[in-house]
Amino acid sequence: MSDPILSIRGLEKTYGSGTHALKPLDLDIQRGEIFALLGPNGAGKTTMISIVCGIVTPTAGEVLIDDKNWQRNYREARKRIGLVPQELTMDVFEPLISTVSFSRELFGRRPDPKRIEEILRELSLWDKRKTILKELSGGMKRRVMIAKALAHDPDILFLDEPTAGVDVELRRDMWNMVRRLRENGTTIILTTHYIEEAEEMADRVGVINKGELILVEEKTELMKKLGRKVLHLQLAEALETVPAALAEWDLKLSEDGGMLTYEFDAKADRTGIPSLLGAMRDAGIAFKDLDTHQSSLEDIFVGLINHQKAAA
Amino acid sequence: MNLHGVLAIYKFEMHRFRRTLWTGLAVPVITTSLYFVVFGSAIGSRMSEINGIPYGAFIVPGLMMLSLFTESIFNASFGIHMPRFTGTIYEILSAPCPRWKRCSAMSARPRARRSSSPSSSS
Repeated sequence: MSDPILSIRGLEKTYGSGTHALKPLDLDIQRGEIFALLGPNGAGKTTMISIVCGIVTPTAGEVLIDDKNWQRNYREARKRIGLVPQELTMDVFEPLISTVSFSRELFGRRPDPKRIEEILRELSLWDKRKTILKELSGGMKRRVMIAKALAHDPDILFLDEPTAGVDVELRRDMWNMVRRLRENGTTIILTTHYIEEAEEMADRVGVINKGELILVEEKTELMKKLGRKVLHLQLAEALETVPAALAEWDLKLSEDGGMLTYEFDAKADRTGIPSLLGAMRDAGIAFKDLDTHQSSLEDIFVGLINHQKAAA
Repeated sequence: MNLHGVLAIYKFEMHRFRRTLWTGLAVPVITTSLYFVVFGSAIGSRMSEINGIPYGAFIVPGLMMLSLFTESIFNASFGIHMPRFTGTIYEILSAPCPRWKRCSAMSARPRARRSSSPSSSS
C-alpha cells in the first residue's frame, strides 16, 4: 500500500525574522490520494507548500519526489508539481488564454493549444479566453489560477485554500473537478480551514498547528470516531451507582450522580436507545432532559488545537 | 534544457512591450527630441565644433544612446520588479528553470528593443 509519491523528511524552516514556521516535519503523500492539510492561520501550511514548490528554501530537511531529492533533480521535480496559491496573483493586463499558455510553456511543455482548450472548457473559462484578467470576477480568477496550475499537466497538485472566498455552487464545482483530477491519477494536496471540505473530499487528513503535524489519519478512521454519538440523560433524582438493570449498556454516571452518559454508534442498526429508555422506565428511573451530541471533525480539530495551547 | 520556459518568458515580455508601446517607445523619443529642440535652439548656435565634430552630430547619437540605455535598464528591472510586487513571481520561481536563464530571458527584451528602436526613431 505504501507507495509515496512525495516524502517530506525532517523539513524545518526558521524565517530571517526568527519565526519558527516549521518544526522538523515528516510526511508521506501516497500516489493518487487526496490529502487535506488542516490548520489555523499561521500554522505553517503555506510555508510547507512553498518549500516543496521551490519558492522558499528550507532551513533543514529534504523533500523526495519518487525517491529523488527535489533540489538536485529540480527540473524533473518541478515539472511534476502544480501550485494554486492562496492569493489571486496574476498579470492583470494579460488575456486569459495567453496567461494559461504562458504557464504551460514556462514549465517546459511544448505549446499545445488543444490541451489548453480542454483545460479551459473543463473549467468553463473557454468563452472568456480573450478577456483581460482584471475584468474577471473573483470566482473566475480563482478558476484561472487552477487552469494555470493544470496547464503543464502536473502529477502532484497543491491547492492552497482553493475555496477561500468562493460561493457554494462554485465550491461544489471545484470539488467535482478535484475528484475528476484524482480519477485521472493526479495526487492532490489541499490546505483548508473548512473542515467540511476535508470531510467531503479527502482520503487522509493531516492537522498542523504551530509548525507541527499533530495528527495524520485516514478519513474513514476519523469518520468512525465521527460516527460515535453521546447521549446525556439528565436525571430527575441523583443516583449513587448505575443500577444493575442497566448494566448491559455500559453507562457512565457523573460525579454528582445527576447525569447518565451513554456512548453509541449512530450508524449501527440498533443503537440501543429505545431498549435503554424502556429499561429505565421499568427500573423507575425518571429523567428531566436528554440530548445527543455527535463529535465532528471540527470538535476533534478544536480539541487538538486547544490541547496544544494548554500544553504550551 | 527548458527552452520552452525561456521562450515563454521572452514571448511574454515582448508581448508586454507591444502593449506598452506608447510609454516604452514614443515617450522616450518625444522627450529626447524635446531636449534636443529646446537646448538646441537655446544654446546650439553658440556651441562651437567639438574636436572637429559639429554640435548636432555630437549630441544626437549621445542623446539617443542615453535614452536607449535608460529604457532598456528600466524595462529589464521593471520586468523583474513588477511580478515581485504583485506576487506573480511565485510562478517564475517555481518553474523548472535555472535563475540565470530566467534573468536572461527577462533582459533579452530590452536587448531586442535596442536593435529595433534606433530604426523606428530615426
